[in-house]
Amino acid sequence: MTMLETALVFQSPKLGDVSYTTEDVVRFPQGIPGFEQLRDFLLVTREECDPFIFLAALERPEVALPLMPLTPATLGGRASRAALAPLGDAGDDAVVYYAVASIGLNASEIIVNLRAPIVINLDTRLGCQVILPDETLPIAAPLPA
Amino acid sequence: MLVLTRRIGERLRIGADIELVVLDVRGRDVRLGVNAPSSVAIHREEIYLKIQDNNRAAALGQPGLTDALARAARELRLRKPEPQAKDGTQCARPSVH
Repeated sequence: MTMLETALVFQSPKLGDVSYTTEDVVRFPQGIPGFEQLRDFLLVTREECDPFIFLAALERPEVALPLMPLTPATLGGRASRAALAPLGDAGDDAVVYYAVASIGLNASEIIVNLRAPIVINLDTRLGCQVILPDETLPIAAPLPA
Repeated sequence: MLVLTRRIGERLRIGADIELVVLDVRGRDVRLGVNAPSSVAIHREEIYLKIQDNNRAAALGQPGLTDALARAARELRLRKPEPQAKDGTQCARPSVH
């Protein structure tokens, strides 16, 4: 390595101190619904919550969305090429999908939003939340089996 | 809010790239057509608001969310004992993707 990466620290009230570099930042050019003004995020893991990870907003540390990685089996549908155009060109495995996780009506159970996945292009470090056109996909689905 | 009245077949031009046309009116239902670049997302407002609410609830910490997540995480790990690490090039640090 010829260049030192500057280590930065993000202080998250929920996740503690997180070390990162500028290369770790994922940029959402259009924010996400509910947080349309936010742009820069980190994907943060916590061992006890694995496989869930957190999308943490650098500009608003109290904002951290739990995400569940989606696989071809659990993903309700793929976003169209047009919908993903803002994320730039992507290699075969560079586009990853996550469902936002939250608590359902039953306060102890997690539900996941399969209708509007968070999509990230790991090559360009750009992300967005895509509302899939399939109206049968649930916003509040129980965890896939 | 800008309020305009249009008849069937008449259009609105929004910015340089977006066109709205009134296609049909039947009773209380108005059928609208939109021409816009494919990168512009267009949704019924109800679905957008539901997703906004869902994101806000998830992001701002419903009581018990972290506990419920940790519990669900344990159950998922018990069900599927797969390697947890993804492709190493995606992880810059142990704690950050």
